Amino acid sequence: MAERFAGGTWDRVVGQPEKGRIGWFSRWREIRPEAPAGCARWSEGTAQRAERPKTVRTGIDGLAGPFKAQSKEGVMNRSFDQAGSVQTIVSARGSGKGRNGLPAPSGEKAGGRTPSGGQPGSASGKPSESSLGLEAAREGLGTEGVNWSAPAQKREYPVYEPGEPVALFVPCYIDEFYPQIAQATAELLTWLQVPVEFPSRQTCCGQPAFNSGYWREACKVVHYFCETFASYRWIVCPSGSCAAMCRVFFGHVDPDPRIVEIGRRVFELTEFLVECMGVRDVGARFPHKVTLHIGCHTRRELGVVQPPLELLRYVEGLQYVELPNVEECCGFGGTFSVKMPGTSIAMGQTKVENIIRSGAEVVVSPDISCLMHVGGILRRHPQGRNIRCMHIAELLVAEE
Amino acid sequence: MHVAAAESVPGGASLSMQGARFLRECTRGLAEPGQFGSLAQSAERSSKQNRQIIASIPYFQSWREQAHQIKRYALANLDKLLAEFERNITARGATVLYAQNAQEANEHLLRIVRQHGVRTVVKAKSMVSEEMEMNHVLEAVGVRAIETDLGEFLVQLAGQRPIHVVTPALHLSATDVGRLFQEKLGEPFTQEHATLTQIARKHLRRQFLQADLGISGVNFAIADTGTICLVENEGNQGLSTCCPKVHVALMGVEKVIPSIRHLPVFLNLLGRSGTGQKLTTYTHLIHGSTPGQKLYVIILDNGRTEVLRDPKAWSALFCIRCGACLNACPVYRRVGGWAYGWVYPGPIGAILTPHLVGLEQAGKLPFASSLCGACGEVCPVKIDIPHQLVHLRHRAVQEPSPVRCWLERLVWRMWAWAMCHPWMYRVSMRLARLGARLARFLPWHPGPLGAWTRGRELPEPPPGPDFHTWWKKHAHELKTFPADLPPESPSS
Repeated sequence: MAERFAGGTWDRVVGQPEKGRIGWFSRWREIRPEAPAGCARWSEGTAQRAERPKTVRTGIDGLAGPFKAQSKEGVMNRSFDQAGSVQTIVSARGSGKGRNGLPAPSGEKAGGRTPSGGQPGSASGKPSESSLGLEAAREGLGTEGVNWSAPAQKREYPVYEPGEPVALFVPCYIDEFYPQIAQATAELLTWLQVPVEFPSRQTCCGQPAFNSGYWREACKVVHYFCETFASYRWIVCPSGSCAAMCRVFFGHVDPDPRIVEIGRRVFELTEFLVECMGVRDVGARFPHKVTLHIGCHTRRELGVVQPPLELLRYVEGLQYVELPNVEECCGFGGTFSVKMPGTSIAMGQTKVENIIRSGAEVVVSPDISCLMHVGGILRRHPQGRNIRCMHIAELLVAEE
Repeated sequence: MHVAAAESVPGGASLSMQGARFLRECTRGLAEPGQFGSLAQSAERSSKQNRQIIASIPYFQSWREQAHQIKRYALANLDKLLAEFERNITARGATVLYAQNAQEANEHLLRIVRQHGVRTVVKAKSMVSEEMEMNHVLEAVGVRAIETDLGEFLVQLAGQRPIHVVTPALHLSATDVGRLFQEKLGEPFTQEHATLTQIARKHLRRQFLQADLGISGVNFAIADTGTICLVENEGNQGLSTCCPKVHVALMGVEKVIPSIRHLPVFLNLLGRSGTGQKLTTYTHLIHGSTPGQKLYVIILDNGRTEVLRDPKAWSALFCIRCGACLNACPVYRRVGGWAYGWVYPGPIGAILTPHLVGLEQAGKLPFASSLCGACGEVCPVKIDIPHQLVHLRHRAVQEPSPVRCWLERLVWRMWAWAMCHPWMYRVSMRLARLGARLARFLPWHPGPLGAWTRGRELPEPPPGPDFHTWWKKHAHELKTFPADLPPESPSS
């Protein structure tokens, strides 16, 4: 073997396979993880292999210890166990059904499956016990109607106690180009009896430099951010991508646990309202056809998909229309929009076509940065000129 | 070993990494969308299909986690597992050859070719062979290499490079293929899929029977049994590996998995993520050479072990080449696979190529993403592609690379300084607003501003004051909901 690979890394790696060649790999020692189930036996070498069964199991049950709970009987048992409790939830909510053209949230789905118009379906008239229970239980198990591409585990949100002060973090572009969004956020939170404070020293979260690769520069700004907001338990930001920068990426810039901890206190506005405060109906009225675009950082890094929908569901007079290919990126991507302008604009144009196809009068989003880009293209589009772009906070305080 | 074939056609046959061509291709191709016929629709369709499949399988997420853990373990114990694999497959008559880089791998291959007097080679799909630029190398010594994977066959006929890792001819429609066959094979023009497939079959079948050497890739190298696993849909891999007297399997070091008991989870994921199938049509498990046949396994490093040094980046090697991230990537759908300049296109290419080729060449690639995260969401082995992209961007601006620029660094330094001083922040934001006001009167827009206004309107600065000023004046006027009536919510 040594003849085949004279010199170089491979000589060291493969040179003497039997005599414990560890040296070259020693630098991985610290990153070598624990063995997953079943790995350890095989990696131990020949002594163990002698015990290997002659027939190799290639079916999934060879692997699937944890899946056994989901065998057929398992599903059936659980479904019957849950039937009673699910039914009580449905009856308690009474009109658990879609509103504003939005389908009911998964917990309410069993009540009425009509997708639009707020008309209770026939199921709510005379629900058959068994079908109702089974269906709901299946949903509970996640075989149907659950978006599995969303982050696997349900996020745990802290609960906001009334009266706790909340710091408002206003990203730089909102501060200068869209102050009405920050005003709407402040109005909304104050209306909901949240004592809002605005540390006037605040500047930026550091995301532009971070995404461009300039982490040392971003780090300075992150430290400044943390100094400014260190004394607040709750930090609310009307922009999903800035909140994602704080909550997800602060650790990349500076793994100091204090920095990471402060980053975790930052919440996007809609998730703060729905998940932390438990507010869904803010008493808004907006009689227009509305579609929702959720920015990719909000959707995928923060996992915020339901909260804006929940808020829209309880807006009076609002008609929600789904955007085709709602999950696709609009092409903004921060500096990407000017570094790769052709690609970015092409992506934006697809988004704009989808918005026009949806027939909405207003595009609403928890990320105004996406809408800055999409709106810029819309204004040049012959059919899109009259479509308005709004932040969700603006919509929730609008008096129309 | 780089055989010159300097064509400047995008996607032209040359894969040469030498010189500035790679760079130029990257810079131009990534910034502007290209016209690739059916590529965008096909990729989007596959992506939607993939999402449906993910949604229909409740334990898909736990499969992903298992696959991730297995790969993690396998790469961390690569030394043991490779040796184990070699021991076991050698015991059944195969010869294992290690190559540190593409050149060594080609030397091994040429030695085999000479030893067995090979004149024609049939080649099943292999990404490693693309890394080696194998077809050119064989051509140079007068050996004909025929791609037998239908997609690869088409792009070879058209003199192009594969545009996708799984479906290399994704950009060709049935009409294109009909024309191609008419032009290159002299067949009557047709658009019918079945007839086209028959034509390809007729041409390829002859080659299988004549060839002296069959080359295939390796999907998984199983250490504990010494098995090569190949998955395919067309039957060409079966024929390429069985018909000729000599079979050469090419694999990257990262393909090894610990045990055959870990194979099912990968097979489940690979078919579903790659082509939307529950299982690919054929799954071959090759345990060694059959009597009268020779089996060589060439294990290629080509920079992979260097990636393992970087604990933040090594999960890029988990990739099982399913192509799900390509289909999901909105940038890939616009710019096509050739714009990425090397063998691996799309998001996985954007994180693998800089490692394997070096940031000096490929430093631009990590910037070809809007960081939307669609790739990380669909990846069956849970490679955190979007986070690795920002990590590589960080490295690209620090280390020598085409994106490192003192002016840009200076701008960001000044930006950081301004953002750490509230008064300076105020001043710069005022200037930005003023700039946006004035920009609409400028006859032309320089730099990034011009890039923005090429297809978009600038945001219109509001007439009122900024929020800082507004808050000072109006904070006390904000109204609270009457305290005796708690806000209504359905949960209360």
